Amino acid sequence: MIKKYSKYAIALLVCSLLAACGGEDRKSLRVGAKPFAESMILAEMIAQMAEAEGIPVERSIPFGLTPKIMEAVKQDVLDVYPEYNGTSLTFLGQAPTSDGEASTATVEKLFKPLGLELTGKFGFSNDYAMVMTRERAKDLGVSTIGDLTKVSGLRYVVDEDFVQRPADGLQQMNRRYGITGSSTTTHPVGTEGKDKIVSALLDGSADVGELFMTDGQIAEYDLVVLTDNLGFFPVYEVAPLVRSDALASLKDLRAVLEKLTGKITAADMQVMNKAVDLDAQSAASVAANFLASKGLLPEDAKGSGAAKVAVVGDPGVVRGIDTARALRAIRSGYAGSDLDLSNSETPLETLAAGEARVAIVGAEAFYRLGDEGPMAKGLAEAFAVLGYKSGHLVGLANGPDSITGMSKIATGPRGSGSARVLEMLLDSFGIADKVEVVNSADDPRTQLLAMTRGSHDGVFLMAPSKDRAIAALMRNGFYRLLSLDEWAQGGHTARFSFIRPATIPADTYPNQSGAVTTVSTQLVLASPAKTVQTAGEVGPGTAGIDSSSAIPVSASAVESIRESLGAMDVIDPAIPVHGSLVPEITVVDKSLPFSADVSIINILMILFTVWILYLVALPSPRDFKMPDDL
Amino acid sequence: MNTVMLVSLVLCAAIAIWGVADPDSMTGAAQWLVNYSLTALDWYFLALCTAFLVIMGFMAFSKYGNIKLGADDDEPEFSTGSWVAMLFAAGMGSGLLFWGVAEPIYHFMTPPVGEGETAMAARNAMVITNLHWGLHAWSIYGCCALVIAYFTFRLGLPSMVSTPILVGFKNVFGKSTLKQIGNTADILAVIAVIFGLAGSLAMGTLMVRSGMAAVFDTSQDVTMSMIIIAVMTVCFLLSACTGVDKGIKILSNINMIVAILILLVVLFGGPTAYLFQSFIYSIGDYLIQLIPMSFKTYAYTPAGSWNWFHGWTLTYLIWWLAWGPFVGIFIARISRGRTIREFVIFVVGVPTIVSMLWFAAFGGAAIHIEMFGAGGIADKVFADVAGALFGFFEYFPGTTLLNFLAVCLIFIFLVTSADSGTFVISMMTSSGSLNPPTKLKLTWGLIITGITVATIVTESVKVAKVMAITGAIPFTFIIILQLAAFFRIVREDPKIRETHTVVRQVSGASATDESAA
Repeated sequence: MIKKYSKYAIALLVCSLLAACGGEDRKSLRVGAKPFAESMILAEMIAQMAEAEGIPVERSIPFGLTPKIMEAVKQDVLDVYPEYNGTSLTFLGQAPTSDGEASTATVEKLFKPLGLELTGKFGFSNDYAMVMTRERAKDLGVSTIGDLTKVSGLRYVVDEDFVQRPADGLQQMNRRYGITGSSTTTHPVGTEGKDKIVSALLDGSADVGELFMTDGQIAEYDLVVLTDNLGFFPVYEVAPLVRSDALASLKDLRAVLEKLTGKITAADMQVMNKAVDLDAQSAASVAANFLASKGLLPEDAKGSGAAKVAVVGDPGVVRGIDTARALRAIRSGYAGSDLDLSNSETPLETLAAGEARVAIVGAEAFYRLGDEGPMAKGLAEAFAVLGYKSGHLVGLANGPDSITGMSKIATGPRGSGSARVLEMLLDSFGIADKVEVVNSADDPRTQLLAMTRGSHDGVFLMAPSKDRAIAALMRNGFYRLLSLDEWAQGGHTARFSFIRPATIPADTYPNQSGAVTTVSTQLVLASPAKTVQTAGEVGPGTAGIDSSSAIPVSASAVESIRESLGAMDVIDPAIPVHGSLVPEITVVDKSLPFSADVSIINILMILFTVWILYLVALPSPRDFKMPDDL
Repeated sequence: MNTVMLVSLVLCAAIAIWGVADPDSMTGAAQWLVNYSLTALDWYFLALCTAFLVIMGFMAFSKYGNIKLGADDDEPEFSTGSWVAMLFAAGMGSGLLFWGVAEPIYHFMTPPVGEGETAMAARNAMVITNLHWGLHAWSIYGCCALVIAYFTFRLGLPSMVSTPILVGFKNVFGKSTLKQIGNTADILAVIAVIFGLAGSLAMGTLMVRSGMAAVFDTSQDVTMSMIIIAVMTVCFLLSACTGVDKGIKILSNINMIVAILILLVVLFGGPTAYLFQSFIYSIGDYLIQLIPMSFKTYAYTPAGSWNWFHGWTLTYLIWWLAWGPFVGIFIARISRGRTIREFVIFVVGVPTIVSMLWFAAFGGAAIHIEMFGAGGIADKVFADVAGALFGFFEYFPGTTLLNFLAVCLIFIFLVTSADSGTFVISMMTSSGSLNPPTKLKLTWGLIITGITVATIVTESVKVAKVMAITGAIPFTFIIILQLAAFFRIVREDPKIRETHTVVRQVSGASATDESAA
């Protein structure tokens, strides 16, 4: 029987091994990228298009910065990566030019002897952008790079690549424009670095930052791009830089690359960069979605790659620089997954129901208001600190002096951190019945304007200290920040330990009269609480069961998320903490553990075994027939 | 209709209704029994399974090894190839596909002791996996099967779980006691087989479903499960009608070939030399660790690792025990005409080596991907064990073909499990007939399909799995009784009696030789 089948088996085996060898025989395409979103997205597009044509691909996404990656294609370590013609020019020792066609022609001529080619441009140019916040630009009266010469003690914040560039970097720009006496902070290239650059601009620790024209952050944070009035920066049009021998040996490759030519606009690129930098999508899925939307890849390829990890926040958690940082950190715990941020009025309940893996919540979300004050919900455990939110009680300059004098207060939408904390404050002060709370999803500006029209006496918002939106609104002098002195007295903090007294230092906001005492809560990442573990909850018996219920974030994911967030404060002791962060305690039982039933069962088992051995020892039956008449 | 059939049906119906009506209380009770037994008697279960291994070794390498399972002049009913193919199809089946990638990765990432993702963790992962799937597992089957095979083919008695007890203890217990023990044994066996089978069919259906989603992009809902079960039922009923020597044998042979094919693609389409390194390494580690691991109760490690020990090692051992009556009777049925030595080598030795190679290939490649390669396998395993295999194939050439073959393989395994399961239950409920009537097989086939459908519709896979394990705990006593009865009879086997005299003569002769020298 086996012989008959073995013929087929051998035939089948030979076929499949041939198929396997066929794959290895053909050279695969080695795709690389520089370590930032745009380069990685474009490299993913090349890789996915090639795979769709049946070209096997080895990804090195990301690979390294310009000096390293350019050397890698020269030395035949990589076959292709997306490169900017302006960058190529400067690295080839040429004068940068702002004429794209001429630039590409020169680059092609110089690359040819190295066995490298630029194929069709993607269709957009990603020039350097020197950016400032709108307020800072207005304060300093700057709108062009040339205007920077007027500023003394200029503080730059740029990425590491920009200070290393031979012809179009920071030093050369300063020399070209005659800018002197500046100081520079550098951050690593990539999404994290861009965040730090933007953060530095937003919190005022730097004046001018360096980004790319296609960066999603420019529109997201309303940054001003300074005009390059002397035409210092060359154009940076992107095209695949590819080894000629790869084009020769992989015959479909050129056609694949040509398909991408001229398909991407700067606006497309901004949207895609934002998706990766700010929304924590993976470069692979952003690329796949774009290719599918342009009809370059079949629709079913869309989103097929990455798994979705749901992240939930309260309605006050909106996309911003802090959530972007948090989302990227979470992504590092779930490598290769896309994150899906949603809002819920009851984020921890959503988490416990297994509808989300991670929650971004304030300490207040871990409690609900019971008759006897706050009650711990016990649904979730915090594992990393994102930051703090301070209470901002804003009143009219001529309105009531304190919260007790108010009769109607506007705050964030129901379930948001602002609404929860306000509710707890009013409850603890015993004025919950007297003060009417207006929940509204409007932005602070609309809420404050409504207050000037008399619709309410105060606005309460939980926000990071030195919130930009609030600062902008405080300028006109109509409003003032009221203190919550009462909180620190009268036992409120004993009941609501997680709402801690805090101070907003003097001069944090325009028109602020001295330091303001207020409250603050910690903003944390939370995992579903771990259920009590019994035998049978690990191991093979549990496989494939209960995949719908909430799974706590694993210890290793916690570790990599915390690592990605960097140094952080200790989690507020009022918040339940993730098991992996709790020191392991072994309880020493002073008496020997004894339980009668276990002892009895053991005795019975031993007796049973002895009895069986005794039975074996008894004489055997005389015959081996079945006993009849049973 | 006999007592065994009647009582089994009633009990099955009662348990099934409880499980469907109030799955939580039912799983709670079953879980309690399992947890309690594991906590109080973990040492006993481990020692017992190790004892089975020792018994197998003793039977093979002593004079008992010469006894033939059948008359002395019987020839084997099946060729060795088909025999081994059927052993695998019945004994492990889709389990090897299910856990081939996942289990080594689990132990590599989160080992019971020591730090994960290290070279040491990788070595231990292979040892632990081989402990769970190697000699111990097959010795449990071997003991169950040997007893039945001996009584069926050597002594020509009915192929029932109760037979050894009835015959072996007939001069020890009174008639009514014997009858009670015998019926209890048969009923427990039937129930253990039914629920074990229903549980594994439900799991297998889910795995086919996630495989089909990976290959054909089909939906993953209850309708799809129903379609799979319907097709499977038609297939196994057809196969059941043809008898062991046609349906099951042909399907098992096809399975064996497809499995070997997949194994070869993984071996030679991946880091070939590395996988053989891993195989050779794991043989040494397994041999060295065999004795310590056979007795390792984790008594001196933190209480947390007891959880691990109960959840993994003991759960596996009890699984094999739960499958014992079913696989045991089936293996016995196909082992006619083999000597005990041959039986032990092919039922315990060969499958162990094959499964070690299997895990070295699948687990070794997965660990290679995690340690030296792109990574990402562990995430796939932790996200969805059932889909881990298909995620694993993405790293290999011919992914689509491999996925397709694997889905076919799991499907055929399902069919053969269901087929051999109904066959065994029919044997047990027809007073041990070696070729039970087709009508009976169809009846049991439909009942099992019904329970599987109920399990899937009510999404109570957990109930079925817990049930499968729970049935094993009382059945343990039956196996021990069976073995005791077997020893009482086998020592009186004519072959042993003969050798006694032969040995005496030989030793007399050698004594003379020595004195002469």
